[in-house]
Amino acid sequence: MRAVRRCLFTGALLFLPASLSFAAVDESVQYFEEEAQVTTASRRLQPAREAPVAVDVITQEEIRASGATTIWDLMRFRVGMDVMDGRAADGNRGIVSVRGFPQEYVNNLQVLVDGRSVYSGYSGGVYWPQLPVQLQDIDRIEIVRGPNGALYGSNAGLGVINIITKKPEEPAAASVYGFGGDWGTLQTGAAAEVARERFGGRLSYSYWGEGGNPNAPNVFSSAKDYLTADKLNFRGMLRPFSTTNIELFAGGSWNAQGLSFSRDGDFRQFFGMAKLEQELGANSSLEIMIARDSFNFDILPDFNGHQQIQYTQDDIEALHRFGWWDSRLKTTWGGSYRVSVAQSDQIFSSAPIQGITANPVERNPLRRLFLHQSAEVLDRLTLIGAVSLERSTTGGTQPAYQAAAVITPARDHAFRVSYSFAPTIPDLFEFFANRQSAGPPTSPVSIILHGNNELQPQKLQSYEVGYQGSYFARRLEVDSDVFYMNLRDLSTGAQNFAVTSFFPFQAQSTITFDNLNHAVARGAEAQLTYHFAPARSIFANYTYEYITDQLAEVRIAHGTPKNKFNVGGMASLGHGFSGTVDLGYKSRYSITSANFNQSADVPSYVRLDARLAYRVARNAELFIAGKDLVNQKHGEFPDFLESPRTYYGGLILQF
Amino acid sequence: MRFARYIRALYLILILWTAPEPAFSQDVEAVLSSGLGPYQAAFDGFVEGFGSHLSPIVLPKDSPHLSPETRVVVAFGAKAVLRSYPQNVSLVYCMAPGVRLGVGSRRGLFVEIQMLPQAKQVLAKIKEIQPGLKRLAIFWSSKEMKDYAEQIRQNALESSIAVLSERLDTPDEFPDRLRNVYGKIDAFWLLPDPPLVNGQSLSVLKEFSWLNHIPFYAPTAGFVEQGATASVSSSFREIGRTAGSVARQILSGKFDREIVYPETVEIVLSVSAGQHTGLTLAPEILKHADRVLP
Repeated sequence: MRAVRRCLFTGALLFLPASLSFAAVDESVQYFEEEAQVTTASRRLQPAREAPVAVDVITQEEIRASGATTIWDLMRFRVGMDVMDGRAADGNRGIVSVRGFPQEYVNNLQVLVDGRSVYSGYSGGVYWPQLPVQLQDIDRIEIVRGPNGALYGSNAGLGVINIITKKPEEPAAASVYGFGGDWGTLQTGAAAEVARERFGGRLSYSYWGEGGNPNAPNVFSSAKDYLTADKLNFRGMLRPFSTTNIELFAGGSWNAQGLSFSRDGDFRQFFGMAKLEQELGANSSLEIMIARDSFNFDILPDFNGHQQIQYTQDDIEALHRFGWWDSRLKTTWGGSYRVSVAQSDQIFSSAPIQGITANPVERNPLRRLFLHQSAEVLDRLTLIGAVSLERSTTGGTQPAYQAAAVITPARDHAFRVSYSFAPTIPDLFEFFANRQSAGPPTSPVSIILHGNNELQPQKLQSYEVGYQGSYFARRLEVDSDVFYMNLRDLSTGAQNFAVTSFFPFQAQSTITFDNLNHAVARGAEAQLTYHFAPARSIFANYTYEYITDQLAEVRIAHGTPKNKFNVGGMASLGHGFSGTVDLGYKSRYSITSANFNQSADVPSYVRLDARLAYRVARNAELFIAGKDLVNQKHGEFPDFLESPRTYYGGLILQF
Repeated sequence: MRFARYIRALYLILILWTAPEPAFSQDVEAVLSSGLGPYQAAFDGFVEGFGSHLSPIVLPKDSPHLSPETRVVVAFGAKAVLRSYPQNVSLVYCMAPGVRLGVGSRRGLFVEIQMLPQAKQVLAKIKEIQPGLKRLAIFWSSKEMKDYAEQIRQNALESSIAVLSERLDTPDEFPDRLRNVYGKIDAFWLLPDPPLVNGQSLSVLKEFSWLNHIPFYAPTAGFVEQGATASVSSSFREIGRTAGSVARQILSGKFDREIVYPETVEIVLSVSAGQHTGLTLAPEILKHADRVLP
């Protein structure tokens, strides 16, 4: 009885400020705010409060103020995120996961850049440093937490990260920036754009260099490590008619990384995309997208020898959005076709396993149909349903579903209940790998990589309850979720080690993949943001994630920090000064690296990042920043790379 | 005799049958985005301008089911404008500064009622309030406001006013932009652009205005009560009145313009805000102002 009373009291407290804030806001202001909300939604930017799953948006202002030097650092202090610095053998230094399960390649997290998937169907993950996207080009990042496979396709089980780049909008504008610091930190870049009524273009280039850890080892030795990347991007826009919008995107990224005495490898990624948006009426539009993404990397010898991989992904997608029945019903439906092709003499056919035919090129065509429907059934109740059906070589025929109800009992308050089912299809590596390393006399251990053609897609079911609201004239924003996820048929790499001869010592290590494990994840997320004034806000968020699995695998059960707490703020300090501070705490976790075949217990740690900027002139800003200011260095991943405390500073000019 | 009674009854039925439609307003439907005060005020003005009363459809509680006779829909606010209406219906929309329908959006006639009178008129009034005005900053954001900002710039040249046109992406940019324009302006004007207008941005603008003695011209009269120096705009009622007049003209088949500006400029002044911003309000302008707040 007392518990019930307590619940009622808490509920009353929750609603009381809502009514107070409602009265406090002048009606004229309310009117403009209402208009702003509606027009934003009509441009297909669904307000986070109406989304069927939890959405967090990193705005351009936050990006500019953050001082982050990498894309994954932008997401480090956000609610529900696991972001770590790592050093995978393929040169992937960013480990980014939503709602747990961080690892080198997070195969159930979909990442899009302007709607184009950059998820690698070869390795089942995203190569973060190699993405052909520059920090200076990012307009905003939308982080969707929770399964969204019905809308975005397979591999969107844990969530979706949507990176949206800047459109050319200024008649003529340019910017230049440069900063440097210790540990070989050096970044420079420039961008220019022109825009007219019917056409526009933006061209940008950046260089990124990083020294990183002075004692970073590879499998042979240790030395100072490095990473360099050159990135070039173009975004063009053409409006032949007032209702037609054509956009062209192209870009590339040229990366090299390694130790000071040896180059680990080179990585090149290129893409091209064309998008057509056609308004068919006040409430109807058609979008067609054609894209090609390709990368190749050349990894220099390790135990597995020299590896060269070439990967190409061709996409075509068409979707139609329309509102009907007085716009109370909104429908999005469409179809897509994707072909992922990976070619590697070393991975797929060099010294093939006996009895398996060598084929250096492996393909995975994927066809998909999807339908998303929202229905405003009552003034305060919207029902959302989505279904998709896809067919691919590695995943067979797979459905995905989503059902949600969004209840808005009062203005500025929304409750959400949702159920989702999303599959994660096997990647080309775990499905088709076919390789036996040289073995004796070159190496005492012969490694056999054996893909599994019988591998089943992982299946993820999620139940979620969430609340989003704002109080005190929208100064305080509250976002909270509780979720329960059930992951079936998790793909697990099984390694069998057999000694074939003790003298001389010879052994055989066979790595294969199977659907051996099941896991259950439960969690809660809460975030508070308070806006004192424009460009002056503070935030605090807490994430709790508890994962259990059938096989008690360390990487599953203990790989996710159970408690994460972040606080921070940004402020315009007056006299041209502005500052940003972010402080994050992660509880201990044990994480495994497949590439280094190592596990590590990572003790709990605190990370502090800060940036102070001074606007010397209208178009010029000087800044100094520091990363990881609390620790001299600390490790976040079992790859021997320890993130060092780093100071850097520079100048941004805008014309 | 009995026959005459039947004739009279028949005559009465015929009169009722052939009488003009009970309300001319059956041809017109007014759709309000919500029951919020500004939409209601604009609707009251609409009734005046149209000259006949009709019951509004207030979203979301009412569903805008149009009768087959409907020839004109007058939409108040973006939510109402973005509803789908039959293509043969003429659409008059107002109070939706963030929406601009393109040629491809509708096949039928559509008319946009602007939030502000012609820029020339507004600038002339601002100049009356602040005769010494030489440098004016205007703040705006959305592409729908771009044409009006350009109109201000062009007309300001004729009034010998240099305009600093500041386009912002979000209200978060206000502190930086205000710092940038400090020392370069005699006044600033916030255009009625929804992405920029919220409680926080108003308090920042008011604070900047009072601390630095720079008059702040607000997009609507309501903001003068919250500390803006003055508003030189059309009232919500006047916007609605213009929409009513346009609807009437469409029904009479004499209308083909796409954009209409309200004609009456409403001036609301705050004496205390004027004192804080160092603006001496001439007795003449105080006399001609529509409202003067102490």
